Amino acid sequence: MTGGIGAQIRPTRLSAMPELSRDEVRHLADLARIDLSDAELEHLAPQLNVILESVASIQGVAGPDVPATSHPIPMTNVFREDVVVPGLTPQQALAAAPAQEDDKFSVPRILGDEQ
Amino acid sequence: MTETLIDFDEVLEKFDPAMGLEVHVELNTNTKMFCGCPAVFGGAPNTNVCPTCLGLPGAMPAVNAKAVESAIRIGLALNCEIAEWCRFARKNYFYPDMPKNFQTSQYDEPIAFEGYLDVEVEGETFRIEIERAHMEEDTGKATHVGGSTGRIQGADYSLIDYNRAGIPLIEIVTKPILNTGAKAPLVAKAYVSALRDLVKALGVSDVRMDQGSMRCDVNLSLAPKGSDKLGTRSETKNVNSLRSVERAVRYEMSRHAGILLSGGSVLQETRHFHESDGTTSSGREKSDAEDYRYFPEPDLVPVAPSREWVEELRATLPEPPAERRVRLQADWGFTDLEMRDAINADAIDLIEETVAAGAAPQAARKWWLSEISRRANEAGVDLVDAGVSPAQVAEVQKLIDAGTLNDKLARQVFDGLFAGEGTPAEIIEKRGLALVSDDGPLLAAIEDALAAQPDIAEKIRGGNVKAAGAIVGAVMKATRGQADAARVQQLIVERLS
Ligand SMILES: [Zn+2]
Repeated sequence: MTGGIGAQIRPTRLSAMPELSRDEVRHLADLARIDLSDAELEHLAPQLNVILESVASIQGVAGPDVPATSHPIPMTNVFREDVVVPGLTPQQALAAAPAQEDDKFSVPRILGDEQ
Repeated sequence: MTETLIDFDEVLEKFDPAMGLEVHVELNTNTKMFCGCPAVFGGAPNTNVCPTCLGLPGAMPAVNAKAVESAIRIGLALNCEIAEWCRFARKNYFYPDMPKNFQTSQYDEPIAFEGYLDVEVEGETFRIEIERAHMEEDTGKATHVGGSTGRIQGADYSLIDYNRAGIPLIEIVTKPILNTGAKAPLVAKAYVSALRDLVKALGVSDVRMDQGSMRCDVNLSLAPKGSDKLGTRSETKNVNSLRSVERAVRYEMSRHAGILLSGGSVLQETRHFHESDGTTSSGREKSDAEDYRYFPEPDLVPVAPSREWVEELRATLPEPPAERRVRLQADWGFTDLEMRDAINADAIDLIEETVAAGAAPQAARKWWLSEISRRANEAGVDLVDAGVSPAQVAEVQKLIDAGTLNDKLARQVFDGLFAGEGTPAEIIEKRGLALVSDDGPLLAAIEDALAAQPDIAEKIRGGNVKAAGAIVGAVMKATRGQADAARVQQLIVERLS
């Protein structure tokens, strides 16, 4: 797992973990489409900071000789042959859908963030 | 909102354009990027889906080896370096076209990077530098229901078909394309065209822009002339024909200049291109929706193509399109100008196929670049979509060579082909277009014409062969153009000598 650009680009290693502000928690909640009240933000921000502190203590132990990793097992190139395998029928696929129409998933209208 | 558009020449006097092109190519693998569902879009809704591409809990993705192979071959053909080690990443966003709430893509570790593609515009070569080519998956297709326009604004709800979700995509991103000046629109078009030819030659995608298997986003900005800073860019999405790429660049240059010259500033935003009138309109503004919180995909292990595999794939690369053109020009005996016109008209493949179907190169060139090009322009479509196939052109030319048609009648056969009236033979039959090959009716028409114009007959008898032209004209008129003019001329001379 050495060499190549992958070896040079690793998740950012934070030296000192900054406190999460209430605004940052609000931003995260917005990104996750979770509607939080001021009281909930007040309640959650310190809890998230506890988690970040725990992570920071692990990072303190891992020195520069311990590479960051995205997968617990050091393996590469797990590929699948390009061969069709049967999937689901539309009925199976839609079985748990809250709403459907014409064999399609029906979802509430989406505002503002067209991809 | 009415845009102030600045005349293209004035734009060039005051600004330098910079472009960035992002092209998505849908691979023609049998299966999707991360599951064994057929990579087929357009069938009955939600028939090519499984727990993985529906993002159901517990489903695990597995990388399609063929898609990685195709990505590497595209990278190599673009003179890129191939990563020795790279990962997939989750691009997190909430939009129901991806049921997982993220798209599996590559972020800062693309499979291919640092390449280039040379394109030629009006005899000048431009090197388009490639920043990266990375692997990702296509999204599902949303249909917006209700509202008045069928567009997302005002829709009551949306219906989603996930057949397309997970089809392998390669996104190819250029570095900023600078110093193209007045040729910017043509360079953009030439790049997308060259890229399409290259991917087509590799055989890894259908690259049909009209069908969405190749899609182009055009980033454009203007900087004051001579300045080395880049201006604020707009990103025009889903520009889906070669002609539209050129038009989108031209329009955005004029629009940006209008804003900048009136003292305004260009908004960094997504724009939608409208095929109907060649304009763009504002889409969503870039906002925190851009905060995709990429992180490495924990369900997939890194891709580390061995150098042996990369070299094996390099050996499978086809003749580069630019070299192929040199070879074809020699084979066909085209002048530089003829070849350039054929390239600009995007007619190389069509001419090659027409020649393969039996037509002489010059005849194939003539039909594609005159009659058929004219009609494609009138209809506002690419030449390949004009409604005539290379085999049909070759068939028409064979009928001309055999003396069944002349050029004038052939044009009427093309009328029939464009109108969908059947094969050339059927059209000739239905429209009664074949040349009068029997000398009998021609001789009768010649007699009539000579009788009507005795003075001309006298001149021809006197040795003035040119005077026969008037009689030929009269015969052509009498036979409604269905006579072989050369044969008529010959018969007149025989008759009077
Ligand atoms: Zn699937």
